[in-house]
Amino acid sequence: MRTPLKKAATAMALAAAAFTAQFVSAAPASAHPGADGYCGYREVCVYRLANYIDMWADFFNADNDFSDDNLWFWDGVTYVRGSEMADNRASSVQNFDTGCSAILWQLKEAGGINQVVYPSAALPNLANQGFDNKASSLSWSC
Amino acid sequence: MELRTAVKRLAITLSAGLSVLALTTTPASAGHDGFCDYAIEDGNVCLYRDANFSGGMLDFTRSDRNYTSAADVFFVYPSEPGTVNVNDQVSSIVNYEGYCEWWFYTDAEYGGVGFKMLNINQSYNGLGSYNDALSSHYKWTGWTECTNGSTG
Repeated sequence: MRTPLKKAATAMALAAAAFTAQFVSAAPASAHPGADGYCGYREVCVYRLANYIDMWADFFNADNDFSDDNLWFWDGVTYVRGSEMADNRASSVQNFDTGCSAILWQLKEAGGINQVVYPSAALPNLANQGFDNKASSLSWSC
Repeated sequence: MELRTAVKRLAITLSAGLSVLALTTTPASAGHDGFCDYAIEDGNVCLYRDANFSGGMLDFTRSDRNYTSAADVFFVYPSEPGTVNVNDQVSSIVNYEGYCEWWFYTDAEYGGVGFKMLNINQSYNGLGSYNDALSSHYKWTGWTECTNGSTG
């Protein structure tokens, strides 16, 4: 089970996403505990460049602040935590959860504008959505 | 081990057992691959079995004149086709096509009644009277069929 609902974030998502009924969760501000560089089932992964390449960060829970979340890379043997942070660096995104929408927010703590990534959805170039290098936090809608 | 880490590892382990891991970082641009991909002129329309984009999903890049074909089944896990055919089972839709529009019909061969979904309509979390009624769709540029897709 993911982290509990947060009313403020829920209200913002409801206002922002036409035709959708959003119930948004947000985690306490901390580096996401599930991060290991491995983009697996039920996670959302944000990538530094378009078309899901270069470095990335994987999230299982909501995350209120990307500024303490390292981007990862594959060194040919294992996943390595890089020194660059995910904040304002995401250019593409894949949602590996089949039942929950991931919601990327422009500002930390689910602030600013948002970009919904529907279950099983992928956005290869966030510039197409006017959201390139903007993501700073993450919530979920299930 | 922290609880959430344990939960994640369990989910990953279960996924591996079911051969449903989605580990690739390569683009998934074709239809019928279990990923709902956005593109300006080669995007997907994604049909979900339940309302609010849940219950399984099938992505299409082009027109489909009859949902009863064997390939038209919902994906329940990433990269893992399920067994439920989409015909008369669709309850919500995501439109990740940035140029063409989609026309949906209650009968095969673009028959019966229906509605269109423009490229500015990104999603419907419920289909009202069209719930569990769709049987085909047509991808339309506004003057001809939109056939820029690769498969699906």
